[in-house]
Amino acid sequence: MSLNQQNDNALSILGKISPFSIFHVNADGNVSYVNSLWEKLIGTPLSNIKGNNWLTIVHFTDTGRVKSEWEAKIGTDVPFTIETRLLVANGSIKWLIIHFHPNPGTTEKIAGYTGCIVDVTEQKTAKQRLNESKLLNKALAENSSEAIIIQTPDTKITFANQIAADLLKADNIETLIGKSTRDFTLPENKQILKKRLSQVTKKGEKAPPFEQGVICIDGTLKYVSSTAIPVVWHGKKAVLLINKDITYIKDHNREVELSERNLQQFIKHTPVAVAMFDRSMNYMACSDRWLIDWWKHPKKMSTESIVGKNHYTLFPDVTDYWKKVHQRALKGAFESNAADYFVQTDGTPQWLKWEVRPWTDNEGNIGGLIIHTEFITKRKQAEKELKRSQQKLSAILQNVPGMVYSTGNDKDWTMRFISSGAYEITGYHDSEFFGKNAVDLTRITHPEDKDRVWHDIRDALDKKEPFEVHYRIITKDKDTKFVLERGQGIFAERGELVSIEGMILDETESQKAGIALRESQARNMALLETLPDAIFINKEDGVILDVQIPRNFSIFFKPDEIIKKNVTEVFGENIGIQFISRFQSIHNVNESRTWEFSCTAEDKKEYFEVRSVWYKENMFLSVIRNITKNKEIAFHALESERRFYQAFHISPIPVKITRLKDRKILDANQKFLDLIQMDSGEVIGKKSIDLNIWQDQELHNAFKEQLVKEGKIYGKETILLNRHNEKRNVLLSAELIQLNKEPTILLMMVDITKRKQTEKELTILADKLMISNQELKQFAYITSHNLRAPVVNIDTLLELYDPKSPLRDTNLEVYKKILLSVDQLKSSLNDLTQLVDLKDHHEIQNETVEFEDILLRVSRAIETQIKEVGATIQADFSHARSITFRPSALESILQNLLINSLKYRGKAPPVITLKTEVIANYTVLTIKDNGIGMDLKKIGHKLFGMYQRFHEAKEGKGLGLYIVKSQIESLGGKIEVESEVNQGTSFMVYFKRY
Amino acid sequence: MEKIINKTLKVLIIDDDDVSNFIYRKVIENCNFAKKIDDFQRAQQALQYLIDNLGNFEDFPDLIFLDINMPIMNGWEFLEEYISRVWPQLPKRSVLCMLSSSVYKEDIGRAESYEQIDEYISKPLTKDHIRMIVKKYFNIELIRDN
Repeated sequence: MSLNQQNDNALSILGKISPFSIFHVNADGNVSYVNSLWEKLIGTPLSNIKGNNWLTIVHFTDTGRVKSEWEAKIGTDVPFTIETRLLVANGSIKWLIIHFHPNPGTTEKIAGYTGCIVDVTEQKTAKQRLNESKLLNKALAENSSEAIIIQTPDTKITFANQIAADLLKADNIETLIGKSTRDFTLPENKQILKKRLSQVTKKGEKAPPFEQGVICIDGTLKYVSSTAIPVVWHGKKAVLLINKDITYIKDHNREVELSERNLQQFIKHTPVAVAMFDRSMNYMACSDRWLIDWWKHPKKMSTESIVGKNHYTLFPDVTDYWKKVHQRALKGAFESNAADYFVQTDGTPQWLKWEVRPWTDNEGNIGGLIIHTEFITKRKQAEKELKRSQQKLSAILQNVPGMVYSTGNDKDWTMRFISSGAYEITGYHDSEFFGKNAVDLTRITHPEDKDRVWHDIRDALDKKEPFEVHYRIITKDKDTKFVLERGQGIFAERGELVSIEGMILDETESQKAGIALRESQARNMALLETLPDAIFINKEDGVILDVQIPRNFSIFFKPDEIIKKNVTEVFGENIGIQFISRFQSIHNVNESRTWEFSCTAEDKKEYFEVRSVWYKENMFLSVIRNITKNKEIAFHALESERRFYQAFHISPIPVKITRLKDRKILDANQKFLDLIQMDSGEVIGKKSIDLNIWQDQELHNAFKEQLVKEGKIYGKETILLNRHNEKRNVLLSAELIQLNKEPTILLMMVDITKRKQTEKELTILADKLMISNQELKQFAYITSHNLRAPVVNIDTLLELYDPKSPLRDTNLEVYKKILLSVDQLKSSLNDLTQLVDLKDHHEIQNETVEFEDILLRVSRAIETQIKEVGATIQADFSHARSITFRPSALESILQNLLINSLKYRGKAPPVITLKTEVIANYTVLTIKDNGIGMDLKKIGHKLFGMYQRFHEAKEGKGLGLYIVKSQIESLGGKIEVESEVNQGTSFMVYFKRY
Repeated sequence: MEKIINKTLKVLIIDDDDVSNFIYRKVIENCNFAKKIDDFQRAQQALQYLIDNLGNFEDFPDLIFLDINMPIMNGWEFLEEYISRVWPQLPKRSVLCMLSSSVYKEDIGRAESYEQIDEYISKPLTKDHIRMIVKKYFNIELIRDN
C-alpha cells in the first residue's frame, strides 16, 4: 500500500466516525473526498461535489473574498481557516468555519488539504440578533413618544431622546448628555428621588410613576410623571426614565380649580337661596341667602367654610321626604314645587317654592344637585288676599244690574269674563257667552248699528281712549233694547291692546241709567282697589285730582286728605318737583315716563317706581309701585362692592387697584399715595408703568405674569421708588379680582423699609458685639496663659524650695527659677496693661503726634538693647511728619516693632529704617529691618494672632504684634507685612487720616 | 523617709518653657518611679526622638507629657504628626498626657476628641496627678510621703 493509499484509508475511516464534516481537496481546490456529514450539511448528494472545486459551494456574496483568501494561503504549508457563508440546497444560509490542513506531496509542493468544517450558523445568527435587538432598543428609545432618559446610578445622563430634549427645552440632545438629572429636579423632591434611585439601582426594582415638577433649561417649570426602570446600558447598570409630560393636565387642573372658585364666588353672591352639592350631598357652594334662610345654628357658618361639609350632618332634621326628593334628583329627576307648605322647626308655617335638579358634568354624568329655595309665605298671603278680593269683586260684579265684560283682542272679541247681569239685558245666560257656538256681542248688536259701534270703539281704542256708545241689541227673545256701552282698551307695556273691558247698561229703562252710572264708578273703584299699585291723577302743575292707594301700600294717605293738594306738599319738595318735571316732559313729547324715587317711612327706606302717562287734556296718570324688594336684592349685590371700596380706602396698608386690560390705575388709597409721595391726581387714571415706581421693571412684568397665571401672589419682597426716587422695601401681595365685571389687580403692600433698616442696624450691632466678644475672649485667654503659667510655676517652685536648707544645689536652682517666673509675670502684666489701656480708653481724644518725638522717646527707653546688639536706626519722616493719634498708642506700636526687629536680628548688625508717606486716606509708617525674616507662606495667617511665636530660642510671649494690630485697628488703621527668610522684614502701619 | 520602689518607667516631657520643664522633672523625680526622664523644648525634636525610637522597645517612653502652647510647632500640630507617624507603629502602650495652663473648654473639648490623648491636665502638674496616672495605666502604687 502506498503512503497515499494509507492516508486515504485513514481518512475514510476518520470520515465515518468524525462528528464533523471532513473533506480532502487537491492543491487546486478540487474536492477528492467528503464524508457523509458533508451531505447533511449542504444538503446535496456527495456525487454533486466530488471533483468540483470547493469554492463552488461558497455563497456568491462571499466568493470574491474567500477566493482571494484561499489563493493567498495555498502553496504555504501552514494550516489555515476560512470563514464563509454557504448556500444550502434548500436556499437557507449557513455560516461555516473551514479548517484546511496541508498534506505534503512527494515533492516540495503541497499535494492538497485535508480539513473539517464547523457549522457556526447558530452563534452567528445569535450575534446578529443581539445586534438587531440592540438597534431595535435604540430605535425604540429614540423614537418613543415619551421622553426617555437613561442615567447612570449617580444620575449622569448617558442617553436622551429628542422628546426628552424637547421636554427639558434643550437645544439638542447633546446638551443633556453628561448633565445630572438632579439639575432638573425641584429641591423638595431631591430626597425622595434619591430613595427611588437607590430602590431601582440596588434592588433592581422598577419604581412606580412619580409626579414631579422639573425645571427646564430655560427655567420654566413642567410637570412630568416619571417611571424608573433598572436596565443595563452598554454593559453597565443604569436607570431608564420614562417621563410623561403632564404639564397640560396640571394646568388644566388649575383652571378647574379657578373656575370652581369663580363658581363658588358666583353662587355665593347669587341673591337667592341656592346651593350646589356633590353626589354625596356634600356642599360645593352655596349663596349667602341660603345661609340666611336656612342656617339657624348660633355657630357661625360662611359660604366658604360650608364647602365640603355634608348637608345631612349640618341639618340633622332633614326629613325622609326631602331625602327621597334628593335621591330621585340624583337619578336624574327634576323636582319642583311652586308652593309647598311646611312647618319650620320653630313652629312657624311657611310656604316654600323649591327646585331640586341634578347637574351634569361634561360627559353627561350626574355630578350632584342644585337646590334652589324661596320662602314665598308673604307672596302667598298676598295672593290669597288678591284671590279673596277677586272673589269679592266678582260678587260685586255679579250683583250689579248692568253687564260687565272683559274680552280678548281677537276678531270675535272672545269673552274672558262676563257678569251674570248679561241675562237681564240680553236674555242669554253669562255661560252662553263661552265655549263653542258662543254668543258674542257683535252678533246680538242691531244690524243697523253694527258698523257704527264697531267704528266708534275702534276709533277710541286707536286713540287709547275710553269709549261710550249707544246702540241697540236684539235679545234672545228677539226684543230690541237700547243699551249704553262704556269701555276701555287695556294695553300692554309696549302699547298693544290686550283686552277690552267694559260695561253694558240697559237704557231702555232710562230711569235706571243713573243707578247704572254710579255702579260703574263703584266697579272702577273696586277694580282699582285691588291693584297693588297706587294711582295718582295730577294736573300738570302737580295738583292731585284723584288718587287710589291700596290699603296695604307702604305710603298710605287717605285720598280725601291729599286730593287738591300739590305733590310737593304730599311727597315733599324734592320728590314733588320730580313729578312735575316728568309731567312737563310727557306733555312735550307725549310719551310715558318711568322713574324712581325713594323715601323713608317708619325708619325703613322704601323705593318706588313711577310710571307716568298723559291721561287726558291736562291730566297725568301715575302708577306708583313699591319696588323696595327688588332694590334690596340689587343693593345686596352692590353692597359687597361698596364694602370692598370702603375697606380699601380705610385699609391701614397701601393698596391700589389696576385694571388688568390696560393697566390703568382705577383707584389707590391714601396709604399708597403716602408711600410713593404722589397725590391722587398723579396716580388715578394713569398707567401703572408710567408712575416709574418699580425699581426693577422686569421683576414687575414677571410679577404681573405670575399673577395672571396664578390668580394671586403673597408676600413678594421688592423695592418701590417714590417720587423722589427713594427706595422703599415692600412686601407685595396681589390678587386678581372681578370689579365692575372686569379683571382687576388688587395690589396690597406692606412697607418694610423701617424693618429692613432695623434689621441692618441689628446686623451691624451684632457684628460689633461679636468683635467685642471675641476681644473679651482673647483677654481671658491671655490671662489664662500668660498670667496663670508663671503663677502656677512659682506656686510649685515654692513647694520645691526648702527654706531650711542652704541656698545651693537644687535649692539655688529653684530660687533662680522663681526669680525668672516673677520676671515673666511682670512682663505679661505689662502687656496686659497696654491692652487694657487700649480697650478702656477707646474714646480718648486723639492729638497731633510728631513721629520724630515718639521715636526719640522709644529709642531712649530701649537704649540699652539697641547698644547691646549694635543696631543702627535711620528715620525719614519728611513726607509725613505727624499724625492724629494717641501718643501712648503710637509709642507702644513703635516700641513693639523696634524690639521685634532687634529680637529677630540676623548675623550682621541690625539696620532699622523708618519712613513715612501718604497713600490715599492713610499715613503709612514703614519699619524695615535686615533681620532673619519669616516664611509668610507658612505663618502669615497667624502672624498677628495672640500668643503666637515663630522663632525658637528667642524670648517672647507672642503678644507684641497682637498688641500692635489691636492698637492700630482700634483707631481705624491697618497693618501689613512683607518678609523674606534671611533678608529682613518690613511692617507697614496704615494710620487713618482725618 | 520614702520607700524606694522599682524605677521602671521612661518619661518624656515636651514643653518650651524652661521653668516648667524644671518643675516637671523635679516632681517626677520626687515620685521615684521613673527610670529615665527626657525633656525637649522643641516639639519638632521630640517628634524626631519618638520616630527614631519606634523600634526601640526598651527606650521608648512609657509616659509622655505634652504642653499645648509652644512656638513653631504647638501641641496640636505635634499631635497631628504623632497620630500619623508614631501612633500606628507604637512599640508598646505609651500614655500621652496633655498639659495646659488653659482652663478653656475649647481646649479641653478638643483634647477629649482625640482617642490618642489619655489625660488632659491643667497645670501645675502635681504628685497627685502622677500618682493617679501610674496607678491607672501602670498599676503602680506610689508610696505617700509623710
